[in-house]
Amino acid sequence: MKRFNTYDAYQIRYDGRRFDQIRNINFKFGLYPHADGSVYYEQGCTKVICAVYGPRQNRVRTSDDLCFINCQFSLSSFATQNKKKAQRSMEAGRLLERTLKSVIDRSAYPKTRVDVFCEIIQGDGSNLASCINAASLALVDAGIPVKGIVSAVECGVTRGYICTDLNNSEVRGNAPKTVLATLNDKREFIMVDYKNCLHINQMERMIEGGFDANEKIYACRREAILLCTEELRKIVAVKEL
Amino acid sequence: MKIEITGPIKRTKPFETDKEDEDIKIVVPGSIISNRTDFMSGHGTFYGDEDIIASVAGSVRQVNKLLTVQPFKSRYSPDVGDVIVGRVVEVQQKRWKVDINSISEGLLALANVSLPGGELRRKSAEDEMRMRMYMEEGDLVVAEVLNVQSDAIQLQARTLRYGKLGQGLLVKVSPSLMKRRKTHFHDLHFGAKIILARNGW
Repeated sequence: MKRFNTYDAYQIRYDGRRFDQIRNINFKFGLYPHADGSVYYEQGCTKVICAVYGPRQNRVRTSDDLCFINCQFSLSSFATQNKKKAQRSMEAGRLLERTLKSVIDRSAYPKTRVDVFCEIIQGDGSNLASCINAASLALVDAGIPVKGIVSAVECGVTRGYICTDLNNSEVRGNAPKTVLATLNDKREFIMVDYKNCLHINQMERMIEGGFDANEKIYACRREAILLCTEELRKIVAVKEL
Repeated sequence: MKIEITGPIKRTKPFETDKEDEDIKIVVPGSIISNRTDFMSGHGTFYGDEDIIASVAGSVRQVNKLLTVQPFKSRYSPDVGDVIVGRVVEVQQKRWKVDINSISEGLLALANVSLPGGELRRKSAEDEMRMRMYMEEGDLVVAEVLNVQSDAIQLQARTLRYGKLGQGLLVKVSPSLMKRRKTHFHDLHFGAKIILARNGW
């Protein structure tokens, strides 16, 4: 059986990256003025728009007094090369919700709800990881108290080499893939999701590779958020205590 | 076809910052502000293992031993005495539920409203039936924040200048742009009146 190879003889992937390099990250805050927090996030060619509404009044009575988090993850019909109708992935939405539940300070706003909507407008691999990155940025933009900034990356194994930040051609097929999410720059994951079969010996290396990539992703996003916040300070009236 | 997605337009002339504003520290969520022993954590911070960590992106403020981080952009958080403009979403038995662009909805009780005509008399059972004649769902009302509790924001509209709003135009801005001032009701010289509410509406 012929295997589709995603790197050439010099161990460089077909988009010009080495195995542990992440793609370029680009984002813009404040895309939707009526949403509490919104961000347009690009990771290489994967483009995601995320909007956060909240905390606002929850009509539905919940059993506990914590903030209710509702996540929606949807892939536009024009996002990938296969012609599909717009899909809403329930599983990815639940994963996103579980990640954000552990990050948002839910007891600060009882009986409220936070809605997170992610729409992938161009999917080039690492869809769920980009959505998690975008959602954490949108939460920061909305001013909702969070424990930190979540960084997520999708890693896979091809022929023994650990590749981080997979793009579309590497995601296809039944190669094993993991999505790892970490908080700030700690080396412990808050969410992990993996598909297909993975050899137990490679698990350790894949997790290490994921942590390294997450550190890089976190570092560049943190600097950018700091710059954006500085810009915002000049045009906002700060409340005196 | 080229599609361009843009964010907000960059401002060409920033406002002048005061001297003291330039020393203020800007933090992002997850950054360590200081160690636990010296300070207490206020809004926008939480206790880490041995230090105080910011939970929102904003400027660090310190009052004696209390550290808070104020986010530059967030939902309106009401203070007692603020003038706000809201839209009625529900008419309940003895109160109106008002949407004020905040974390929870505001509650305007019938007892805290002055009836049209300016009288301040005790409300009878008939007034309860006639609540809908005064304000319905979708009406705009200007009121003042009476009390802020964990799950309810109580409003009052007792004086003559508060109450249901008639003809006019509603412009929504971000609540972080509205400073608290002495008066929020202004008369423009060409005859129009403007209300600058603290929740941005």
